Amino acid sequence: MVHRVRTTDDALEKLRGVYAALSGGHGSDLDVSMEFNTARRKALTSSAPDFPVAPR
Amino acid sequence: MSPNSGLKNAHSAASSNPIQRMGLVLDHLVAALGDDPSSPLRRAQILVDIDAHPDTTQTEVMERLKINKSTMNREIDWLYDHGCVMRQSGQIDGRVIHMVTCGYSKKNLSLALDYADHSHINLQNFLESLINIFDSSKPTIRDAKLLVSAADLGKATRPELFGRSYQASLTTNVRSLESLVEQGLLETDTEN
Repeated sequence: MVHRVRTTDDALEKLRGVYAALSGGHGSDLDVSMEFNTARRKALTSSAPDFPVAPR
Repeated sequence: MSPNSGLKNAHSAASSNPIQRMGLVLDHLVAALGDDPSSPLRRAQILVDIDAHPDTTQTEVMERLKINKSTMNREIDWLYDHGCVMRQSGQIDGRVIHMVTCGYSKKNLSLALDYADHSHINLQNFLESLINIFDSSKPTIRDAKLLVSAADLGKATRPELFGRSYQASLTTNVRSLESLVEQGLLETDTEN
């Protein structure tokens, strides 16, 4: 039995705002990164054989 | 900008995504605070404020950050005892103490600022918005790093997550994680 931890959607949304603050309002980069993480999370929890490529 | 810093910035941009960059900022802040990840984020705010306003006084920092006097006294003593700031009596009024960041704190704050467009305001806003995420009264840099690491990993086991955070006893890490779960920032599930 393995306990897995993940960030809640609410926290991810708030982290988007935190990154926007750090970059002086340029939060869109984080959207790309989070899309990548969502894709990676789906890949890890499904039987999909290919690891997704990070969008650029 | 020197060729070295240009190369460093290019490397930072190429080697990390935005979530990882937030983690790197936290790492530099920990280094600026004497390698103590248990430091409250509020302490980092005070250090950043002093760095942004060289020769500032305790009263000025209190007014800018809206921090009460007892907390401020405690945090300034901590920063001074750990060699993060220097204190100097004023030349006009000897009762007024001026403060500046120094040594490893100044160096590591400069590295953190690389990720904030070299803007103290951006770094301060980053810390303020990070503090506001937490329900707890005194969130630490360790709490923030666990949260950011979890966001970066997507879905991770506890050992994977703790391996990406700062070294601490298992009890300390578990306490921090459980607090994040209670605050609705992390969630756990069980797989067979």
